[in-house]
Amino acid sequence: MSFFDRKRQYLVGSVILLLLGTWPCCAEEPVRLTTDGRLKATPVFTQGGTELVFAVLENPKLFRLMTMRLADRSVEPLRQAATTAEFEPACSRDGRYCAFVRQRGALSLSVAILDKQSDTLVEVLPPPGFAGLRSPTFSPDNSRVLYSFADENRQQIFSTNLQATDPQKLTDSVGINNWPNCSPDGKEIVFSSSRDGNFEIYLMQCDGSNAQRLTHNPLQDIRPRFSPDGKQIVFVGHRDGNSEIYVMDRDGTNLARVTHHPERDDYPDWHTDGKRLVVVSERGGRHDLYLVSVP
Amino acid sequence: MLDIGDFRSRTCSGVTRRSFLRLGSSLPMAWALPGSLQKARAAETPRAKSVLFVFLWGAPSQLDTFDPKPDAPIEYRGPFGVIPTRTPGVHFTELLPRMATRSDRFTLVRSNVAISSSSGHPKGGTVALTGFEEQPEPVQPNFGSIIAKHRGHTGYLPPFFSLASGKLTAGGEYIKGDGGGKLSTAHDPFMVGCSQQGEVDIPTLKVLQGLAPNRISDRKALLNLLDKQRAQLDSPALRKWQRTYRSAYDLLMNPKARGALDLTRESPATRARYGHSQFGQTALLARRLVEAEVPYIQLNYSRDVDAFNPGYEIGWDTHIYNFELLQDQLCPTFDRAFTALLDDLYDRGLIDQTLVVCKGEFGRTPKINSRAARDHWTNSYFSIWAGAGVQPGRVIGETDRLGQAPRSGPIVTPLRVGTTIAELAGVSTQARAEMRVLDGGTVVDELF
Repeated sequence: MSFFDRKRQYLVGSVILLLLGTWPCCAEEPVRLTTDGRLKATPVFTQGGTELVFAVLENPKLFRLMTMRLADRSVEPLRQAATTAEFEPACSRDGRYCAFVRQRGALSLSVAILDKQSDTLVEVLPPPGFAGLRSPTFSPDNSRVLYSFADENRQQIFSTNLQATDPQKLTDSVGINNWPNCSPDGKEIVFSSSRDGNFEIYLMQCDGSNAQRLTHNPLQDIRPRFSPDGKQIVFVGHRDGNSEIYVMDRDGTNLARVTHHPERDDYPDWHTDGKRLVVVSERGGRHDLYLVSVP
Repeated sequence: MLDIGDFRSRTCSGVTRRSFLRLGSSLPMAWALPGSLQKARAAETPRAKSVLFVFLWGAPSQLDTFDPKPDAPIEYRGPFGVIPTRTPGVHFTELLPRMATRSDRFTLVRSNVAISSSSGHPKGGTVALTGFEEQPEPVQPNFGSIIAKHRGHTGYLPPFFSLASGKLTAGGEYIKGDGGGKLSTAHDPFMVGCSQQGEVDIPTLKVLQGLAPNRISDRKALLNLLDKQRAQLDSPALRKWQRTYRSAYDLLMNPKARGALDLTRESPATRARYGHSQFGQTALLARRLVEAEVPYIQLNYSRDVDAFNPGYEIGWDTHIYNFELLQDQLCPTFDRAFTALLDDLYDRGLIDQTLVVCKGEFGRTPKINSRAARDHWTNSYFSIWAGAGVQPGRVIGETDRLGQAPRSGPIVTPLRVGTTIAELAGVSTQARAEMRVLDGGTVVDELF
C-alpha cells in the first residue's frame, strides 16, 4: 500500500469516525411540538404518552392549561371556562385525574384536583390572606396528591388524599422544599431542597423519612422527575452557565447533560417510553415544547 | 371640529360610552412651550438627550438578584447560588447570567433607601417616581413630567412616554405620582402598551384596538374608522383628556411617529434578542423611542405589582413564592430584555446620550417571611445606572452582612435619584427652583 493509499484510507476512516461520532447528535435533533412561541411551562405526559398537558401564558394576565394530542399536535384548553390563572398540571397515571395550581385571588393559590370522569373539582385550599400551594404531583397508585406549601418561614412538602381531607406534612426542614415526584413503585420521593444552602436534589422515603442528598453543586438543581422505570432522574441545573436539562441515575451517579444551548431549557418530563423527554426550550426568544432524546 | 376616540366614563346614571377627541386648529398642544422659551431650551445640550427609567414595579428582592448574601444565615440568604460578574469581586445570583457578563456596562448602586412611611405600593410608587410622599397634596410631579415641562414638545413625539397597557396600579389602586401632579395633567405621560407579539396599544385610543400603527395606511382610513366611533362631547370634565387624544391622533397621523412605534421594522433577530415577552418587546419599543430622542421614557415591568392577581400581569410583588417566581419568570425575562437593551444602546452609539436608570419602588425583606418569601423593605435596595457619563463597571454602596441597611457609600434616596436624572437631562438647579420641584435634592456624584 502506497503512502497515498494509506493516507486516503486514514482520511476515509477519520471521516467515518467523525460521522459516527456526530450521528447520534444529528439523528436526535429535538422535535419541536409547538410553534406559537408563547411562554410555556410544566408540560406533563398523560394518556400513556399520547397527550401532553401544559401551561401557556395566553395573555400577560392569564396562564391557561392546554392539552395537546401528539398524533396531530392539536391543542385545546383543558378547562375552557377557567377565568383565573391555572398552571403546574399533574396527571394521574390512569389519566382520570388532573391536579393543578389555581389562582383564587390576589396572591392566593390552591391546588385543584379535577376528576375528568365526573367533571368535579376538589380544592386543597390555602389559608386566608397571602398564601399558596404549588407543584402538585400524584402518587403512582393515584390515591394521593403531593404538593408544596410554605408556612413558618419554611416551605414543606405535603400530601393529601384526592378529597383533600387529610393533609400530611412529609418534610420538616429549614429552607425551601419543592417539586416532589414519586418513584414509579411509590416507595420514594425525589424533590429539591435548599436545606443545605442552595437548591439540591434529595431522595426520601414516601413517608418523608431518610432524606439523602443526590447532587452537590453550588448552583441550583431543581424540578427532578423519575424515569418511568425508576432508574434515572431528570432535572434542571445551572451548573453549565444557564438552565439546562440533565439526567442521572437514581443514586446521583452517571450524570449526563441532555441539552446544550445558550438559551433556556427547562421543565422536563419523561415520555412513557423512557427514551424521550418533553422540555420547554427558549429558542430565539420564543418558548416552545420540544421532544428530546435521552442520551 | 371633529370628535374622535372613545372611553368609558362613569356618570351618575352609570357607565356610559362617550367620544371626546376634539380636533380643532385653535387648540394648543399639550406640551407646547412659548416659542422663545422652547427655542432657548432646545439650544441647551443636556448630557442625556433621553432618560430611560426602567421601573420594576412591585419591588424586586435585592438579596435574590444584585445584592446576594451567600454567607448569611439560611433564614436570610435564600436558595440561590452566586456567580461572578465581569466586575472583579462582585457577584450576582445565578438568576442573572447575562447581567453578570455585562457588569462592565453599568454601575450598580446597593445603597438605595426609600421612605419607610411609604412602604405600601401606591405610596411607595409615588415616592419612587416623584421623590416625595403623596402628602401634602398636590402630589409632586413624576421625574418625567419635570423633564417634559422643561424640554417641551419639540419633536414629533410627546416628550414623556410611559410604556404600559394602562395606568400603573397596585391592587386596583392607581399611583398618584405617575403624572404631572402639581405641574398639571398637561405633563402626564403619553401611555403606550405593547404585547408580547410586539403589537402596540394606545390605551387612550381604545377605538383603535387591533389597529397597529403599521397598519394605518392613510389618513382617510383612520378618519373613517374614527368617524364611526365619534359622538358628542358633553362634559367639561372630559376636556382634560382632549390633549392626550390630540397627541395620539397627531402621532398616528405622522409617518415618522408611527414608525417609532412600529416594531415590525425591527429584524426578527433583534426582536428575538429582547425575547418575545411583553417586557422584552416593550423594551425594544423603548429603544426605538430613545432613537427618536424622546426626552423621558418610563419602561414599566408590569402594570400591576402583584405576582398573582387575577386579571393582571405578573409583577415583582412576591409575598408568596418569591423564589419560584424570580427563577421561573421574572429574572429570566428581565435578564434577557434588559441586557439586549443595554447592548443595543452601546452598539448603536446611543449610550453616551442616554441615561438608563433601573429600579423598583423599594426592596424586599432580607429575612424570609412566614410564607417562605419576602415582604416590603424600604431600608435597602438596588438601582442600576448606565450611560450619560455614568462610570460603568462599579458597585456603589455596600449593605451590612444581612442586607438590611447600607453600611457604606452614599445613601441614595428617590429624591436624589430624581435630582440626578433631572440634572443630566438638562433641568438645572435654577430650572428646578423655578419649577419648584425636587426641592432639597442632591446629585449622586459618586456615579460619575
